[in-house]
Amino acid sequence: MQDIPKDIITKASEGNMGAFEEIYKVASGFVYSVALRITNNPDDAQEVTQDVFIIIYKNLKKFRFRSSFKTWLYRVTVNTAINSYKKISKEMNRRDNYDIAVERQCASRTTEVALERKDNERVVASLLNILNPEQRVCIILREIEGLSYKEISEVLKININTVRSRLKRAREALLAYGKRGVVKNEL
Amino acid sequence: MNCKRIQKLLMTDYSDGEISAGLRRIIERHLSICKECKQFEQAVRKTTIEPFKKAQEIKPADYVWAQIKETIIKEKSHQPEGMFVNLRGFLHRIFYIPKPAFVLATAIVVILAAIIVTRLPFENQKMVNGYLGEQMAFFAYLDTNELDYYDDEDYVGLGTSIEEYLF
Repeated sequence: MQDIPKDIITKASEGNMGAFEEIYKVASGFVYSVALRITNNPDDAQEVTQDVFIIIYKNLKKFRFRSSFKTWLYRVTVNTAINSYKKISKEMNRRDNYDIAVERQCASRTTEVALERKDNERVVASLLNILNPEQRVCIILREIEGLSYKEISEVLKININTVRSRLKRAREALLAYGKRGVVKNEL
Repeated sequence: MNCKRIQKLLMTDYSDGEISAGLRRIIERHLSICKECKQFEQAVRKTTIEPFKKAQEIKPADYVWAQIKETIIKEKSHQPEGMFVNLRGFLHRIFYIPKPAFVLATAIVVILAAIIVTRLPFENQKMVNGYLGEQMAFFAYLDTNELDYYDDEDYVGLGTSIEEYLF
């Protein structure tokens, strides 16, 4: 996610809807992707996206730039998505629903690129699906969003050793899954 | 460094670029000679890292923004408008002090108050000083021989027989 200029955030905090729409345009892809990867359901992910931006809008006035806007947005997104995931139990349908979301996204693209992308997303979804929500969030923030251990610890408000141990356990689980040959076949 | 420790680092700090240059060199040297750890490193990379590198951002459907905008406008219309709402925000902006600054300011005020209270001369202090002065003068007076009642020259007897017996 690219950085959002401070004056845009200030204008949005004063109630300027145009400035808030700018924030949405920059951050909505990130928020929706993270929400979709955590909830594994496009409807839940859209609901989470909506909730996140309403929370952000309501609390922008209180935002004092003491932490980075990005870190705050990551935190709100992750917490809202995890709460939604824990609340709604649609475990059986999640995999299919994830495919629907990717299909929607790929519909306008050329077939070959779309198929490749769909395959990639299916592998990512199947790998994330074997992890618990806490491990899943750490893997998303580290591997997909490229955050450092320190940044992850700030977003999740946990210490760096906890980040390290969650990543280790997540990778142990992924390795065990890979050894069973599932990843090999899907790749 | 043993293989167990190396493999633990391969699953965390080494793969995530959170390791010092020195330690990285040690691990790379180990990987060049240890076949098992090399295979482990390849498995970690292939199974737990590379699949996620291909993940792309997925945009929400267009109507999501419309829904957000509608919710915000609806909530805004239910909010109380007027002078007092604006005044509250205005006062909040003026008197807003970040928490650490507030704590520091409070600590400074408490310290200054303590210093002032301990240094101020009060009426009681004057009374104590007066009493001590009187006591010191009294002891100084005692130290002189002016109160030596048994000095022969100054002693004026009462003329009783017992006095003759005693002195």
